[in-house]
Amino acid sequence: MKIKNCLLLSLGLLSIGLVSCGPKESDNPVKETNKWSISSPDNKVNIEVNLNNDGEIHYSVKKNNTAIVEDSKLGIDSDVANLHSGLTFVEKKESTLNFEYEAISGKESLVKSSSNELRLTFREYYYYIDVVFRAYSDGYAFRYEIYKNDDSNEEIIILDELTEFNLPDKSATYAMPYVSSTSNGDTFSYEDYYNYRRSDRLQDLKISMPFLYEAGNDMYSLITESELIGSNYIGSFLESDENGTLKTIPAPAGGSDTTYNVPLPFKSPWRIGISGSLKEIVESNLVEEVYGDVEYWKPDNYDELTKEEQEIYNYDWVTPGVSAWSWLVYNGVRGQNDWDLQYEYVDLASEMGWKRTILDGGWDTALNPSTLTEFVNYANSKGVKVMVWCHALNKFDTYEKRVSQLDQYARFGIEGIKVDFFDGQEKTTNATFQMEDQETLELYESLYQLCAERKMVVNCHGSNKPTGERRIYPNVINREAIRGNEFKTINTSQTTLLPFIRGVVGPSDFTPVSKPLRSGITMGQQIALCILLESGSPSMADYSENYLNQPTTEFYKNLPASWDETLFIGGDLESHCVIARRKGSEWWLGGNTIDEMDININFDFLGEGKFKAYIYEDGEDASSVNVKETEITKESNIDIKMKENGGFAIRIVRE
Amino acid sequence: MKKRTILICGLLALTLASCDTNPYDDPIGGGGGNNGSITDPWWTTEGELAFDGDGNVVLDEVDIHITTVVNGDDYAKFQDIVSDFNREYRGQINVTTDTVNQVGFEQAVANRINQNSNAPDLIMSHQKGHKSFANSKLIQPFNEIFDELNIDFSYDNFASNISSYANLDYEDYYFDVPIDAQSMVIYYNKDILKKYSEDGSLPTNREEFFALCREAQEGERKTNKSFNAVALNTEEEFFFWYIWGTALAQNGATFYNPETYKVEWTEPNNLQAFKNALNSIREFFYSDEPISIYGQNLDSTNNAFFNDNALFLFSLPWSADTIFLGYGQNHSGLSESQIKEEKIGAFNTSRMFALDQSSPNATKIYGDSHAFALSKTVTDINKKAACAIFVNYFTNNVDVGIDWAEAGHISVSNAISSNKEYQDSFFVDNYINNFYPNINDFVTAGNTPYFDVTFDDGVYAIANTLLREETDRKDASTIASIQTDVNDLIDML
Amino acid sequence: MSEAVINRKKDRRKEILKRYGLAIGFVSPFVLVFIIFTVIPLIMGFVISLCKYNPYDLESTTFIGFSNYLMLFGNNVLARTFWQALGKTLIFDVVAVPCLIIIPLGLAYLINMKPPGYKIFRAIIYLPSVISITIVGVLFGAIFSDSELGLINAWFSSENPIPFLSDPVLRWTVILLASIWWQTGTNFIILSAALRNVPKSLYEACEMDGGSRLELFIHVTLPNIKGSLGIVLFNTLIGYLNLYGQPTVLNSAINRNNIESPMMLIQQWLNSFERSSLTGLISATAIFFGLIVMLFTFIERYLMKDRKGGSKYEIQYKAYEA
Repeated sequence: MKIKNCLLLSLGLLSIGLVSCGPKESDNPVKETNKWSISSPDNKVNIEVNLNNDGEIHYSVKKNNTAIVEDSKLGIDSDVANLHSGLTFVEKKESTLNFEYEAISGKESLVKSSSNELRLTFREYYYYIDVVFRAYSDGYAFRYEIYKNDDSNEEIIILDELTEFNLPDKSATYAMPYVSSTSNGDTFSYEDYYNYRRSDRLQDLKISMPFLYEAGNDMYSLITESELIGSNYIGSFLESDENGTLKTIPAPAGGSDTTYNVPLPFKSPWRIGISGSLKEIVESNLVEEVYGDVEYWKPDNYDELTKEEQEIYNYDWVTPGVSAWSWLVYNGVRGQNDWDLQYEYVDLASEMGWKRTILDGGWDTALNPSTLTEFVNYANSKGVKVMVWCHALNKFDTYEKRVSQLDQYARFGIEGIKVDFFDGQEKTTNATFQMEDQETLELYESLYQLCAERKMVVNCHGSNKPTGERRIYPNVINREAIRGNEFKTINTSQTTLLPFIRGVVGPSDFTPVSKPLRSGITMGQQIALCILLESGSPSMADYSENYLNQPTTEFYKNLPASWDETLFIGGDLESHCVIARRKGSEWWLGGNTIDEMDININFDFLGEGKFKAYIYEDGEDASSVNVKETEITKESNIDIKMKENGGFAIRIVRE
Repeated sequence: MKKRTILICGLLALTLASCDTNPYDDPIGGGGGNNGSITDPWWTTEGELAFDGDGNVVLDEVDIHITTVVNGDDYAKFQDIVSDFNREYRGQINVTTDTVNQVGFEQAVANRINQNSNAPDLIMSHQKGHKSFANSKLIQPFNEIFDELNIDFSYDNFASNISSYANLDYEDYYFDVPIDAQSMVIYYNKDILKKYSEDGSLPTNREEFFALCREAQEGERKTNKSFNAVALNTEEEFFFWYIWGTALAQNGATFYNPETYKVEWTEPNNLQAFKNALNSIREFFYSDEPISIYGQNLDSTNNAFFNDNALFLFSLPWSADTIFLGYGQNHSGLSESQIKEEKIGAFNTSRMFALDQSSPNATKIYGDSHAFALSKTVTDINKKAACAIFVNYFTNNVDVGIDWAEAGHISVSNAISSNKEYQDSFFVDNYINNFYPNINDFVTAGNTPYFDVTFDDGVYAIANTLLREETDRKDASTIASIQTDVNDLIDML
Repeated sequence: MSEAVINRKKDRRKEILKRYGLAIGFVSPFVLVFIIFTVIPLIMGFVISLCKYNPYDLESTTFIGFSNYLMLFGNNVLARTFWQALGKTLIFDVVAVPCLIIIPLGLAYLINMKPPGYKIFRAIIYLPSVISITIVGVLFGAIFSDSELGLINAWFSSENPIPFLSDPVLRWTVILLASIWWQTGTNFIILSAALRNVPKSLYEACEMDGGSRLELFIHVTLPNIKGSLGIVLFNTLIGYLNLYGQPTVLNSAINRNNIESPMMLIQQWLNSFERSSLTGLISATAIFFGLIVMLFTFIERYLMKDRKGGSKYEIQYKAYEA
């Protein structure tokens, strides 16, 4: 018996020895059969993917032969399977997506999308992971899809996402790292500063998205995520090693939940890199486009609804439009439950032709329901809708509270909610979730849906960045997640970055004023910011007398809140930015600058015919503008003077 | 039994060891640290600098962090200046900043440096706290790095009074690089002034000031019972720091003995100076014809001025924007430039509190001064170079000086203050130069390592207690009592 | 040592583990935290109090025995400030502590009668106790603010607003009101429970003997709630000897350096960078103050405990029985 065991052991050892005597697999290059690539329809963007000998998925991206992302890893670690190494390739599928969709608000009203898709399926035991890549002319996107061989709905725990972005060596980056916005506790709502850092100086920081870096000469890439809401996942940040390789990490300052149970089949959010020149970055719709050819959200029981109820989900009732907002200039002086003030702002909105007025925090203190009814009726009679402020985690922490509260608002005729403090500030309930953890993302989704059912629009404040939700929830027309005028110390070094970073990914509630609140941004720039940053419901934040009977009144009266077309005219990071947007036959230009600058604007983007241009240029001091009128055609060009920290706006009307 | 014996013996030993009933009694006046000379430097330098062909230092992405005491609107201005610097030095130096409130600034930053945890590289704070930093070996001088970079630095290039303290009493060492000065200033209503002053001219001394105020009150109260000539906020520390400090300086008071650091307020001449200072302020509130109300806070004084219920508003230079905005909101239809040029003017506290107008002290203005200091935690010579370059930029660049002046801070660097462009810039010409008519009359607390004890617990406490008294009955006894406590504490430290 | 003895020791250890092992397991987390965060800092504080110690200059640390403690009895600014602050605190406590016993007791007594809506009243009385002192400061600060925007000053619309937080007497009154509002609930709950546990038969017996309402209260209620009264007094006394929160939050900005209690003295001096060389002295002050608090509580416990042989009524009854 002993001899038999010895013999068996020896045989086993010999087998192992023979197996390991041969050439080491890791010395051999990746097999040709484990390399794939996909290019954009115009061949400018090229994604290369490979599965190395350790079964790890790697990818890299180039545009116009300039490296955007160097060799980087992909994968997911879960409790049931290592979906990042030891994988076996199963199959690939390629397809082309060409479609167009209409957007109720945003940079463009009709978006045409064209991309090539590569779906690679890998396996580890019973679990499959598809990595879906898409190459667009203005960037790339990819995501993970995890499922089991028997298509079961089991839950898995995601332990870590191993997505990397290996940046080109010593790239210039513009990042907003995590810094808690309160001195005690962890809260973050994307309202901090974007600052320059070299890519090898990003260690020890938790970097939020969107994140911009310079990959090469006139080549930039903006990394962000999309289709986050509804993914059952969590928001992500980026962390760097000493070489500038970024890796996704869970967004900090979440609630107490730190394990991520997801039901299968699981589709991760899209990881997106909008890539190209600054023009391509600014004009890109990729964050919303990546959703694909989808319809607006409808409830599961849509087919059982009446025709009238079904029509709600056409979202025709969503009306982008400018809002009147009194909180910023009256904070600490007059409360939001000062109904004289609110009536004044309804009258302002009515006279200016604006769509909405906002009742901000404190509006419901000592509220008499009949007062609210009277107010809403008055506003509606003046053609003004009412949006009210509410605390996300205090008013809406449970489903029952959401339904009950929104029903109550609907009964009063309230048309929209400005829901704030998803980041956890001023929380008085026992809600243990906040920021971008799973439950908070479910809260977002739930609110969007419940509001859609009640034909209410949504403006999210104290919230995360836009992740394309407007694509299927067009009632989500505005969002904060930006350092705006609320921080009276906002300066031009930030406002000349925002159009290239935050302004790219979705609506921005910067809340421009007319007369500046402090030195540092001129009136000309405040006006320009209405155009440089788009929103489906821009909040005009100044005193009513600064809008009425002013040289700028016509500008504000006619200001659109949705655009048919967006063009980047010129600019550079931390220098200046000029953007043109079209609504119907009218063009609107906005420009800002840090240093004093004379700029020549060429109007070759205009169609044929004659136009009248109303020019709002920096005046003799920071709180005045010069208003000029002139006739132009597409052959014209005009010289504009911008003062230090200044700006300009032009409204062009066809004659 | 054995254990009890050991315990008793231990206690006895401890008791014997503590024969000294006052182990903190130091005849010199406290442990002030190594005054005058440094034989054993507490800072180190590592690494080497690289230079290009023209002898300019070459830096590669050096990150430095500044902790500053400024906050609010002037922090925003500071960040603007830092952003400009970062753009200009892109690829070489990258500056990040944070701010810590002035209450507890020294304690918070001292802890960070001492534990080398989140320690700033550069400190930008009130010079009055830097002496104790130096004595506690938390900051290092700039000498070495200025030499390496061939920066021609001298305290002669700064306003004399302020720069006389900048070496922190360490001869030939550049511990501080002075930046600016600030004190309480006066804004006035030009329309009301024109009514009661010939040609709208401002008073030139205290007597004229009071006469003007009383005349204005008499005139305005015929139609406006709420009118008080002077809106003066007495409910914030700035009143005690700047108004009271100025009153003391103008009446010839000595804050402390520069040799021993002890206070000598009961010395007859000094006591009289203190009393004069107190009475000079009391006349504002408690005379037969008071021109202001004691106990008004920031909101009340601002609102009074914005609503034309005051001729003079005592406020801070960095509140200018807020004041222009507030005034504008109560007078719709006015542009910002109209307000600045036609409606609100700038004045100063020179001669305002001096009971003897012929005294050379009568024109003094007391306030604070910001200065840069280099943390001892900076050892890499490239970081030191980056800090030195930033400091040099901030104190020599005229555009920076203009921006910083618009934040309410007058530059004490001759390179900036003597520059024509700086002098001609609107805010400097119309406001800063009127806030501080002569920078050489500006005085600060100087180099005591016991600033908190001497001023917070001493000088300011005197005013806080005695200015509520309408008469000077309790002045001598209160001052004597506080002096005893302050000197006791200085003896212990 | 013989093998038998070693074996016996091992057996004993096993037996102890077997009997107490689970209990040790449950208690050990608390014990660990207690040792790390209470015992060790206490020992370190005591050791520092025997030294001249500067955290920014550790090399200059010198052992000086009890000198720091003797400083508290000398003629120096620390001693003067400390005893002055202690005096102010004691004067305040002489007023506040009885208020915080009598008022909750009175309320508990009334609630115990179960008037209509007593449950609501009970909740209203207790509610303020759950909020933090900072919120109390914000609330009372807003009501009693010195400025004309304070609730009370705004109501009177006077040109000369009342300086509630600047005037010393008014300020202590506001602190007293805030303390009563804030902490009545805690004592109320304890006394309310105690009152409910007084046997009804005793009340009936006293009534049958012709006792009035006052006599019922003095001779039945009070003796039977003596234990709870003792606890309430103990807690309130310790809490108010350690007075810190209320005078700190209910203060005007310009008076923030005023020292009104020993705890404020300790906090302010510890947080002052210039006074870092006095850290040993401040530690000694803290420990000495702790001993004073212990002394007060010993006195309180001694006065509240049952006498040997019982109360005089018990003695009289025994004599009667005999």
